[in-house]
Amino acid sequence: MPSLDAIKDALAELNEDLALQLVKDALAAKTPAFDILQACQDGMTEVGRRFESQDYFVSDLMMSGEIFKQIGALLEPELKASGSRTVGKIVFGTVKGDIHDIGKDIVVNMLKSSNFEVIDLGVDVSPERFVSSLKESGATVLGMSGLLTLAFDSMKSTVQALQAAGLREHVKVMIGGGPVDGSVCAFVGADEWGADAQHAVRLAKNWLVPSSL
Amino acid sequence: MDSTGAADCRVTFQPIGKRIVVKAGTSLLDAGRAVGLSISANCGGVGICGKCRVKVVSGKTSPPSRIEQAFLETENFGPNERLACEARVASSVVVELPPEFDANAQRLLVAGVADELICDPNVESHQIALTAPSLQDSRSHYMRVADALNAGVGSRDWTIQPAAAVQFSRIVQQSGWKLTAFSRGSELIGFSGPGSRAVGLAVDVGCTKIAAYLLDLQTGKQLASQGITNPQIPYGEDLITRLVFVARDNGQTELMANLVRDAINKLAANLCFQAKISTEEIAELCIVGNTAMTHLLLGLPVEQLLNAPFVSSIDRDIDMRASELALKSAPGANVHILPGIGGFIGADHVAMILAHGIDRSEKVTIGIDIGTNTEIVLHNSRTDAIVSTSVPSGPAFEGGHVRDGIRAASGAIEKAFFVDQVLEVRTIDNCAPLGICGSGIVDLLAELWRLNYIDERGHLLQRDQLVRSGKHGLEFLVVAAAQSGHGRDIVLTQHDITEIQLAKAAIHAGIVTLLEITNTGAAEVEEMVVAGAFGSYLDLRNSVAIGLLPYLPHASYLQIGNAAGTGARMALVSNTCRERARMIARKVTKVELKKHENFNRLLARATRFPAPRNKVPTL
Repeated sequence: MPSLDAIKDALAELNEDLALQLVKDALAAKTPAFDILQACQDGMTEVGRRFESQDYFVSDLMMSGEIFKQIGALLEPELKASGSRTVGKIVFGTVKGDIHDIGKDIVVNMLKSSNFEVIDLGVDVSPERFVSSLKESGATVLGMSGLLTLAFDSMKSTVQALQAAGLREHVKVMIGGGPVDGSVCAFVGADEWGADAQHAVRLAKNWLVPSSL
Repeated sequence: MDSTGAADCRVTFQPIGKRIVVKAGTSLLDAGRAVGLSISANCGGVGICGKCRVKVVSGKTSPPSRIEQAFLETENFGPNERLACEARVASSVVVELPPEFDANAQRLLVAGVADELICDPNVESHQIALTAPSLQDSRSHYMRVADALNAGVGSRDWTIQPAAAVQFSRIVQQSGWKLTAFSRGSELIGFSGPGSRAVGLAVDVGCTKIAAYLLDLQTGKQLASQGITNPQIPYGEDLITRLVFVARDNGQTELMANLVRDAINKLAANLCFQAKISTEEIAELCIVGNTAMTHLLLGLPVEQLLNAPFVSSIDRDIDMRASELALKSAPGANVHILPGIGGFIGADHVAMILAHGIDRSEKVTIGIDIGTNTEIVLHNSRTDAIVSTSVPSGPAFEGGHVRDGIRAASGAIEKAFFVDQVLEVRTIDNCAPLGICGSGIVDLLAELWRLNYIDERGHLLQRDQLVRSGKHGLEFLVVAAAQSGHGRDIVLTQHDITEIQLAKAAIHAGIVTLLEITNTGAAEVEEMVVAGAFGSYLDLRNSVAIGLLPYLPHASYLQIGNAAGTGARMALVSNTCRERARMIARKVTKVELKKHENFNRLLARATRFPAPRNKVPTL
């Protein structure tokens, strides 16, 4: 039976083939899916740490995200069978008029690996879809991504739609994407903006995991 | 802010695309020198010669000094034109360099590989001899021409516009009633002196450059050709920025359209001068360009191009009068614009497919034109599937987003290779190196990979002193300050490498996705065709070594030059080719990569450098 540390290391080293094989072996050896998930999350945390210390770069985050996504698909049936243990719900998407998803996927995967339940609405998401998803899921955090400058208008209309739907007070809003900065955040009316995936995870933790403060 | 309290200001020089951050109060001339631009200043920059005239497109500069004021008045300076030696930056600014600066600066590929052109143009020329009006023969000018043509080529209901009649009157005065008439169908579109041939202008409007070709419409013979930098660059280096500029302020539609129309007119005038004819003899034009460029040229709405799902306004072919676009030509000349495939896959892509005959090749062929957006076509001749896509590969291969990246201009490192542990570089025009252009970047990366300076993930390894700690992480020293043209080190940073990895991964993943969608195995591909300026100077083996292009074991890799320009020339002189272009536009299926869930995984994988490290197969 492969050790959980080996899974963590394979992920931290971005060794796709090895990581997937080890996860499959562990599942076959009846290792609890939650423990495997925890090892993967530790691996992702290590990836994030290396990114912050500039030992890893955007291309590495992309790779780690893709490996994590595949492992997630392997673990999902097991995890579903035994109920959820996530620490909070987040609705996420690339806003209407924009279809950039590389950065969004990195953030979504990082959030998932930090134990958040993320409802990923994909790209070109209208304000109405964001609102109805927030209502249905009861999520209290909304993350919006956009790379085009025109995406800022969509972010702003989404925040306005939240207000109109009476959700704004209960939902924290974070935004991110290439050109996003403090002035964009103010223009959009979001609560916070994030420069990278690690930043987004910190914001989510502050909002959803009071003990992390 | 530094200790002197001066703020940092970013100065961007266009159209060359060079950027630098300087302290407020620095003169534009000093900023230019610091990035290695040789702005002429015969007096040495003390406000005497007036040679260093530049245009400030945006941002704040110091008010004109007294010295400068004198020049502004006597030398006919346009609005926002300044002396670079006197104007000091007060905020971040964009500066447009004068055209003289550009003339020798940027290497613009004009040539394309072309077979003999097949000519069946839609313009006919007729040599006619008329008699002057007299009391016995008081027919109108028009009737004289119509009767002569009816006798010569058969009876038609000849039509004519007033501008052509004006031209007729002028020419018969000069040539004594012997002249050449040009017709399209039954319209008399223009006149010229006796013995003139019908000529046409083919134009490829690119994001960076505009290439034009003057052709004899009857023989297809090329009379002259030239490329110039697209004058829209100061309003946005990449096409999205330019589209946003127009979308934000509708008044700019006209400005952007006029810039490119003026550039085409300038090219037409230069080419006609070389061919010793008048621009009034241009009887037909054919224009290709990417979707954004044709939209800006025609003044079409662009808002919908900027928002998902990114649809074009018109993607069928267009025929309109050149005069409606204020293009210099015969009075009734027609402009033909090739159709696009949809979205950002535009007429230049159709022209490339047409030029190389990818649509009817019996070989399984991939065609690719690398730019800020890279268009890829795959024709599987066995299943007759033909698919195209556009990937946003970014400006890295044009020197953008790379610290010491520059466009392919004098002083750009275009080749790099190690000889016995020593890095040798070759620059354009053999000048002292100023930066690295796309082909040099690919060479460098391939050498770094081959010699173990980077690992499979693209991380720099501190193998020897050439890899060192820079301001923002590790960097590889390419040329030391003592050998560079601007007295600063030229380096490739870890951040640069990441940018290039993302760009090459997008292209690679785009190609692999098309292979997957059409169920084509890599071993089935017989021809890999690389078009465009960057693609033509690129070292193909090094491109495969870094995984920019996939390794296709049974394919021959070909560089075909400016294929879009070749396609424009073919369609200029041939109605048959125009019909084929229409068929291509109908037949090609546009692929949205975002809809293929595998794409992001392929993309992540393609950021890696392909093993084996030092064994690149012979292509």
